[in-house]
Formats: sequence, structure tokens, C-alpha cells
Amino acid sequence: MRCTIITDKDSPKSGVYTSRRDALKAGAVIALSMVLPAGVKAEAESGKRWAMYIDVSKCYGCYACVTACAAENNVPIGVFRTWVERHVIGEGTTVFVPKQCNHCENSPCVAPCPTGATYRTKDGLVLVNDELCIGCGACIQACPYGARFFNPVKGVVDKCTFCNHRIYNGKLPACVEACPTGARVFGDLNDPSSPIANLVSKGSSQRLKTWTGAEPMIFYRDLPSEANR
Amino acid sequence: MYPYGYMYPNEYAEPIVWLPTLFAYSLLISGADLLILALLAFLFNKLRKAMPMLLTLGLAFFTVVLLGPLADLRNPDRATLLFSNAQIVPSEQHPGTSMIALMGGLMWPLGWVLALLFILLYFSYPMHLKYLATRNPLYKVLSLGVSTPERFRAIKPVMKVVAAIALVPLAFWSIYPATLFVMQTGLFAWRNWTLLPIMYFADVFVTATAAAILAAWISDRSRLQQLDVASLITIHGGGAVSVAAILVIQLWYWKNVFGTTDYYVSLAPLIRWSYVAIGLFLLTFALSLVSMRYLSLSIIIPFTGFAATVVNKWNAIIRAQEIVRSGMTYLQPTYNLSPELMVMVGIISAGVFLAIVLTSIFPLEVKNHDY
Repeated sequence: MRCTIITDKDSPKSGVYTSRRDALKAGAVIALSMVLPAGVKAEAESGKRWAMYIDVSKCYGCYACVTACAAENNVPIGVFRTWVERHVIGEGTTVFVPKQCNHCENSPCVAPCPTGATYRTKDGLVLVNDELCIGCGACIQACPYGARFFNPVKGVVDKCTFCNHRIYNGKLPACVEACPTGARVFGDLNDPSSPIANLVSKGSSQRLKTWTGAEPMIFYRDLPSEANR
Repeated sequence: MYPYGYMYPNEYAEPIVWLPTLFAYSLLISGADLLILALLAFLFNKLRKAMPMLLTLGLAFFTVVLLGPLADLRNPDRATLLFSNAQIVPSEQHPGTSMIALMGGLMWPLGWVLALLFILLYFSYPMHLKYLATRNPLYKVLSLGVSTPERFRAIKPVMKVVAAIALVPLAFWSIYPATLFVMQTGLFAWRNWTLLPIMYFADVFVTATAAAILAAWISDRSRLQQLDVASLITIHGGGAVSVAAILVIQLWYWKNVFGTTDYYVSLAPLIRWSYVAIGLFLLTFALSLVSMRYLSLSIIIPFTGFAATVVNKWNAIIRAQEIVRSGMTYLQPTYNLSPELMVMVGIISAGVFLAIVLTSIFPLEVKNHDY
């Protein structure tokens, strides 16, 4: 929840509203900001389509992204918002494949949620409203990517949010910021001048399990078929 | 150490997400399916003598059916959100319809109210007769003012309409949660278990009739003929052989699609236990054939029928979850079953208790069915 706090400094006359209309306006702003989830407000005017591009050939399995994510989002030990798979392909070549929630265009996890706790924002983020999650596990079972889990501390289902508390403040997701080789690129797919839009538009990227029809928003380069099951 | 072929650590952390649903769904839903059997029989004018028993048992189990999923919720204190926030109508933020919300938030209340209405109508005149015999005002209320055979005859068309409408939500329930497994999960075994909903529907007739036969034996073993047990055995045997046939077709399909791949290897434990289930269903079928001739043998059938169903549904619900979503391997997680068993026994006991209460209110024998 994002809540607008009016301090003495912000208020027109040291905490005293100039007119009844101002007071009503301020009240409406406060009420709206308490009702709407933060993501919904921010995206309303943004028109973005958040996505990530992962260059598998640049990942050497340092797990900095996993650690940064856990630290940033208080992810308990044993469960993961992002993880790095290690695959040995061909004649012994080791490949590291970072994975996480794909924030799919046709998210298979959204429809099964019985209470609407899992929802899509206009910017394409797939998020969980902790207040509505009854913990039925339907979304965990529905996700073809194993990206969801029960957070034993929060007591509800948890997953990657693309660090939505950071990206609307001009920061990158923690995993992207921590990556030492720049294997992860994050940005707005709707912005033709963004690096991710350029990378994806080249057309050589792959996505995980396209046969599910989920249309994931994480694009890979050099993805081995072993990692796509 | 993750096993070979394992890709998703979150899945490894908690492979079995739904556990108490095993008994909740395999027995309670099938128990509730007695209502389907009763309503179909009413519409086609069959099983008249067994009808009161089918209705009361069915209503009892259908009433407590949601205790199964409730036991699986991590936040059961928020369970009411299933009704107040049911995700049934698609919207921009929540595209699609949740199967859980549809069944729990809409079909269950609808089916329950319609079933209750039918039962109240069905027992209206018999309750009036019971009131005349006992002068208990509760029975007068339950008679709904139907105090003459003529009035009872007059409401029969209404009962037929209610029965026909009630069959819709109850039919949805009869193939649930198979529909959820097949349509809204990403688990390998469930997504590829094409015949699971059909198998659930056929299983309705096995478990429901097993419960009814057992109830007939418990209520009055000397009146098995009067309680239409022979007809129930016929349905039971037919259901058992159908489930066995559907399982055989499914196994054949898997073999043809996956051949000797890793996928087929991961299905091996499930396939192995499917053979056990098929054997038990065929045994039930054979015993049903014998019992039609020697009615006293029918006491064995509910137990073989239940055993077949439990093995089959343990396979479909639990073992299927142990095959990872990549389809590359099979986990054998260790879980403490004893607290889960207590929950399952508690849920079943609630259904049995309610059945006892209902059978003490409504008569198990309704004479002169064609008033």
C-alpha cells in the first residue's frame, strides 16, 4: 500500500487546509492511495511492458542475483524467487540458466486463483495481494515454471515481483543490479529505444515452455534445450 | 542434494501441496455423488426403495465436502474470501475463471440449496405422517404444509424440475477436482492424464453405491431386497469395470505417446499402482456379478470398491504430484501422514455424524411412493 502523508511542510498553511474543497481533495487522494495497490497507481499512467532479457552465455553461476534477491525481498532459506540452474550439455560444457517468475502475458497462475489474490497489472506484472491469499496452492500447481512457493514467514504464496518497489522509483531489480557480467537486462518492452526492446527485436531470443501458451516475458539468449523442460 | 533431472528448487522444497484432499475428495465427493444417483433414479423412476437412504447420505456428505479443501488452506481463517471474492467473472486484472472459485463459491452453494430443496419436497408428506405419529412440531415444519397425498402428487412436477436443475452443479462436482488437475495445473502427470475427468465420473458410481450398500447393511441387513441392494450392486459392478477400462486406455495412451522416454520412466510408479487399482476394480466387478446371485456376499463389495478407489485416487492425487513438472523424474518425499490422517478421519466422521442426524430425522423407508 502506498499512503500519501501530508506533513506540515506540504500542507498549504502549516497543517490547516485553506478551504473545504482542499480538505476534500486531500481526503480523496489519501482514500484512493489506500485502496489502490501501489503497482496499479504507478502503471496507470506508465503504459509500460516490463520484461527481462537473460544472456545465458554471460552467466557463470556466481549466484549474486540469487543472494541479492533474497536480501532485497527477505526470501527465506530453502525457497527462491530466482535461482540458477546448472546444466551439463554436449560433451561436458557447463551452462548456467537463471530462472524466476516469467510475468507471462497469458499467466497460467492468475485464472486458478480463487480469490483474485494473484492479479496482473497493466504493466504486465503478475503480483500477489498478500491480504487476499488464502493459501490454497492453486497458483503454485498452475505455474509451469515452478516459480511460486509458500513463504513460511509471510504465510502466503510468494514469487518474483520484478522488484516493483524499486522499478517505479527509477531503480533496477536487485538481481539485475547485482549481476557482475550484465547477463540480465531489464526494461520496458514498449519503449523502442530501450536496450531490452533492441535485444528482443533482433529476433534470436528464446522463451521457456512456449508450448504452454503462457507467453513469458523473460527472453533468453543461447538457452539450451535441456533447460527448457 | 537434488536428484538427477530436477530443475525447480521450489517444487523440491514442497512437492506435495495438496494432501488431505485425498480422502476429502475421494470419499466425500463420491459420497455426495449419491445425490446424483438419487436424482437420476428419481427422474427415471428407479431405485425407489433406496431413495431415502441415498438422499440423506448424499446430503450429509455434500454438506461437509468443503472441509477437505479447508484442511488444505494455509490461511483457513480467510476461507470466507472464497465466497465474498470468488474469482468467477474474468476481468482485466484477473483474466479467466478459477475452477476452485467456480466449484466452491458457486456450484457448491447452488447444488447444496437445490439438493436440500429437493429433499425437503421429497420428504414433505412422509414428514407429515411422522408428525401425526409423534406430534413433534419439527416434523410439522419439515412437512412444508404438504398434508395430503393430493398435495404431494401436485408437487411432483416441481420436484422433477428441481432434480433436473440440481443435476447440473452436482455433475460438475462429480468430475471435480479432476477438472482442476487437468485444466488449471502445470504438473506433468495431471496435464497428460487426459481421461482423468471421465474416470472420476465413472468412479462416482463405484464409491456412491459402495457407500449405499454399506449403509443398507448397517441399517437393516434383513431388508437388503427391499432397499434395492441388487440394483445398487449392478451399478457398482458396472462402474468398477468402467473405471478399470478407462485406466487401461490411459496406460495404453501413455505408452504410445511417451514410449521409452524419460517421461515414461517418471510415470512408472504411477503406472505400477494403476495396475493394482485395475486389479481391485476388476475384483469388485467379479464380486458384484457373484453378489447379484448371492446377495449375502454383497457385504464384501463396498470394501473392495473403497480399496480400489483409495488406491486409484492416491495414485491420481498424491503420486501424480510426486512426478516433477519437468516430467523428468519422480520424487519420493517423506511426509508425516499421521496428523493428515487425523484430519481426514475427522472430516469423514463429520459426514457420518451428519448422516446419522439426518437419518434420525428423515425416514429411511417411504411407503406408497406413488401417492
